[in-house]
Amino acid sequence: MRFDIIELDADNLIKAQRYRGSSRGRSAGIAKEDAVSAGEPDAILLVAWTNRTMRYEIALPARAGRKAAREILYQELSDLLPVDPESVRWFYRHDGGNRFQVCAVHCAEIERVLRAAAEHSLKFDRLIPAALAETPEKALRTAAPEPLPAEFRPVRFRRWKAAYLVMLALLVAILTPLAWGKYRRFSEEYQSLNSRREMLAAGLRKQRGDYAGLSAGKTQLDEIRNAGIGWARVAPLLGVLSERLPASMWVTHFAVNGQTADLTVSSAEDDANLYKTIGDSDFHSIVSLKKNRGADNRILFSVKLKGKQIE
Amino acid sequence: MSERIRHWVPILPAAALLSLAGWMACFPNARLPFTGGVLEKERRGIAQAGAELEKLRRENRALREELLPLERMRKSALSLPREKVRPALVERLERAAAESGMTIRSISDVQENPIAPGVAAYTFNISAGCTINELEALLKSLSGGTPRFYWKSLRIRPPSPGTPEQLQLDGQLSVLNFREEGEAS
Repeated sequence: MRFDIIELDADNLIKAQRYRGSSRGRSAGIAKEDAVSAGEPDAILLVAWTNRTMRYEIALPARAGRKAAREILYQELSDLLPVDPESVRWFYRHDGGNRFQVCAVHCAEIERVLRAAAEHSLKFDRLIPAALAETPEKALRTAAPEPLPAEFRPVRFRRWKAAYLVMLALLVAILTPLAWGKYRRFSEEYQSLNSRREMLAAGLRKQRGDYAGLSAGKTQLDEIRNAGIGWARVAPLLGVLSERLPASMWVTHFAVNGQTADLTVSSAEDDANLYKTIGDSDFHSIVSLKKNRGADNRILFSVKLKGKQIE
Repeated sequence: MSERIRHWVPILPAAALLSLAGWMACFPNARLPFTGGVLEKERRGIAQAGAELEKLRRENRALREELLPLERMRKSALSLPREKVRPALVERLERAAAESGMTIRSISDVQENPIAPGVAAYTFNISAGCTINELEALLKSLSGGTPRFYWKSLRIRPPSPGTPEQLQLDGQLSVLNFREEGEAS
């Protein structure tokens, strides 16, 4: 990686130098590089000379993870500091094994450095006290647990970002009409289905209303039929009987009670086919036929008929 | 959000839009995502409503056929306020008797019998003497005209064995009256 180290001395004078190297391999060499020919650096470190700075070497009793080590270091530093830990910004560097170099700088000093950086319009990724940055390699390995204010961070890949935004805008411009066309097609289909459904719903409402009225009518009809109001077809029945009975027979008695009619037919001679002769009609059905011989030797037929439904 | 994930966040809109563009290029006739389900749901609703509508139409058609007798009854029945029923019945009966040439000996009081909401039957007894021709004319008149008379009971017999040309008629008649909704109570 390429990185710039900007040194800000106690008199607020600036000296910048570019290096090439890596923060991972401690043994890897770091070499100076020509700043003009190298292009933009991957990281910019601001190494500031500060007053009111304390540096400690802390050895942890056992190996700990990065986050745990950071918490332990802060606790150790708080114990060691002669001032309130809230009044300092702290930095640390891992020197291998369990050994750490920890440095605390008073907040006022940090503010002074940041003001100076703002005056010079400096942009950098990390602020490192010079007390921990003896060499570029050590400066590169120094960490600042508290983040830097956003206005000091350098803006990188401006052209790429602009190109990305332009392409994004183009993509949006192309996709919007396509998606809108598809949405309109969906919307039209949905509207058509919806209007059909509403039409069916209106039809259903009407049919349900009709059904309620018709059901009430059915109940009314059943109640009328069950009330036994009588039989309206007496005249047609008598017409049928007068047509079917032979001229030698006389109806001597006719009685209707509800849907039942009893008649007595008198005849001088027997008729074995009278049951068939009377038979059924649209107005009646024959239920029974009994035959008796009267005192004057006449044959008396007692016929029971059932009247068909009143309507 | 961790630093590693935060670096990828600006890429997400582009990735989403590129995916959308790729999908549109590969499936130009495809619907927008999630709209197929909406249309399918709407179609299912239409199919259900259509089936229900068809079923209701069938049931209503069957009910209408079943109710034809009620319609005929209604057309051949009275539709009068309660207080006008009795005079109308007596007048109609007397007219039928006069047309058939017979004399009604007696007509009883008219009894009202509510049988369904909005429907009442009016019942009364009659007694008459007549010939066979007069009886036939009376029966035809009563069963064919409006209002239609229903025989709850009817007894026809010669008053004595020696006079077969004369008949004695005793009967109970009823007539339906479909009242208006307002006075159905």
